[in-house]
Amino acid sequence: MADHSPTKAEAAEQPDHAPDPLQSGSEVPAQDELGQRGSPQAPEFLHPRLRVLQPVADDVKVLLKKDGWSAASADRVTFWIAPLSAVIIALLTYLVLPVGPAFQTSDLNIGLLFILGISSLTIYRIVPGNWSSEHRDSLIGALRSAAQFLSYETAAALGLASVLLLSGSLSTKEIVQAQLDQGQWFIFYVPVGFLIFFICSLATTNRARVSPPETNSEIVAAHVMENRNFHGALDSLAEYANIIVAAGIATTVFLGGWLRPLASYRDRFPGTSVELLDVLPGLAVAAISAYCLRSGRRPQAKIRKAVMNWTGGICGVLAAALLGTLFAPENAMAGVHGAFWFVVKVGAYMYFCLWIRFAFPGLQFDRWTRRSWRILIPAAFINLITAAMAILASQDGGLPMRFTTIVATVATLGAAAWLAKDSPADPVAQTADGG
Amino acid sequence: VIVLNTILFYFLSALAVGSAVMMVTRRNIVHGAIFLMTALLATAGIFLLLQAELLFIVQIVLCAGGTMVLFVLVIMLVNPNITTELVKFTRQRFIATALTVVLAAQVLFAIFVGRTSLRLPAMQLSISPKNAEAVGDALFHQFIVPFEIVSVLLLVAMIGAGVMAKRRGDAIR
Repeated sequence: MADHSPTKAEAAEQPDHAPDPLQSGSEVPAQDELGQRGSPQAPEFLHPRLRVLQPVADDVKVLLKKDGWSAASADRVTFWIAPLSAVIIALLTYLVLPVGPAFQTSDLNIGLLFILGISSLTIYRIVPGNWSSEHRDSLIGALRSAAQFLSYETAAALGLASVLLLSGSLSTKEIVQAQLDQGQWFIFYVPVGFLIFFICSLATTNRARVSPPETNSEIVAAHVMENRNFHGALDSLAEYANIIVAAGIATTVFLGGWLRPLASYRDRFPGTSVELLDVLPGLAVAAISAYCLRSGRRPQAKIRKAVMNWTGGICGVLAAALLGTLFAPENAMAGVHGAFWFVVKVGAYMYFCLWIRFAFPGLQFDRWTRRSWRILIPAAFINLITAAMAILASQDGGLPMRFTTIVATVATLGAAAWLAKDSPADPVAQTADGG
Repeated sequence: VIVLNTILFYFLSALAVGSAVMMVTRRNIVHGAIFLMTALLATAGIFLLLQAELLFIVQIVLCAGGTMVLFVLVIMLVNPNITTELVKFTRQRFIATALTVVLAAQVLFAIFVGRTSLRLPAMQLSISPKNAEAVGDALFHQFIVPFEIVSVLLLVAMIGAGVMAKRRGDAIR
């Protein structure tokens, strides 16, 4: 590729500008979320050099848009308030998520319950927002959303409960501490619990399918459709914030929070206080930085070059921080490294969610909901019981935890498979399987 | 901190009382439901101020999250236009006023009679921060039998709801 400024077609091909959750509603094409495709029609009122700033321009545009109402009879106040409350609810949850040992806003002693309780209020975003727009179809959409949300919220709570058996505390801080003390992330002790939570988080954040639960051709999500202004932006913000919340919960509860992998392995370099494994993330990030800077020097489209250089620079700074804090006091080191691991895990979880959304076709709403009640919730109960038995057997019976965990997991999965096979939960899947 | 707590207490109380009044006076039934939720949340905030974290979250989960969702769904399913056009507060106004006056008189009388005994004992300075654990302990040690009875009762209610929701002749799918 010659070194010239990009033509329009080229610029459109490059994944140069990450899709902006604020400007696009929850019906963003899944490909956009993963950055596989650039923004399809970016208005070109910015100089090519400044096109990195395009998302900012889009946001300003969204902010300045006029309010739009669907019908004269729409309930404006409720319609106006619903997205506000959505954002507040979504952001409240961050209060108790510990981003590293040093960064936690407040360590409520009911942390996990707090998260569950607050996020159960999410329904007030969907239902009044849809009701107030005075559309019969969107009201049905709201009811579907509510039903799906309720069914999966239940199963998610049950999946999380299996961890409480291990941690013995609801406080998020102590859950992470328990994983450090027991030398293992809880995903390895209750894998089925994590699986259930994962599926539920796909469903409750509407990531699971290409289309949200409101969608049949005529049933619309009014809170998305008719709110294309700042409030619509808030609504989308809440939607994406909810994904981060789900990822944060999963990270804290199942994936060891801010602990690095192999957290109990604490060999140090001889003569120093630097632990062996703490060096690795710094080196890895430094390697990424070097790669980006090198490939940024190749002749290619300018925007791509700029992105590569910026990424390389940011990674360089991050690597410097990670490596530099190795020699800083213990607290600073733990804080920076903890935050790094937390963010990495949250990012990986979110990527998985989006990935699944765009890799698999959607299921119809009723099948989703039925699946939750027929398979997921019973399986979660079984998981709770088998996990309790496994813990008892290892604590009182003296059996090794690894062995009991494997037995319990196999038993739970077997029961879940039996449930899935035995219940006519999904007629289509059955006919496809010839069942 | 004490000043902040006082300010927060009065703010939340005003919010709770104000939205309770709004809830009763709104013609639009959905607005009423939303104001009821605000009142419940404000009450939850007061619980949090008193360091009753468990009570706070139970209030949110059960009242605001569970019961109110049902309310809102049911209200939204019935045609809201009919409910808003209902001419309310007509015939019962006199009876309601009379009953309210009687109730207020009773409350005031009780306060007046018991004004010496109403003084609350001084609050303990150190409340155990682990009230979730404390409740769990109490439920599973001291009150295990009532707790289990209640749980069986709830189970029966759940099964009953399932049976009643199923129409006669429906196969169990």
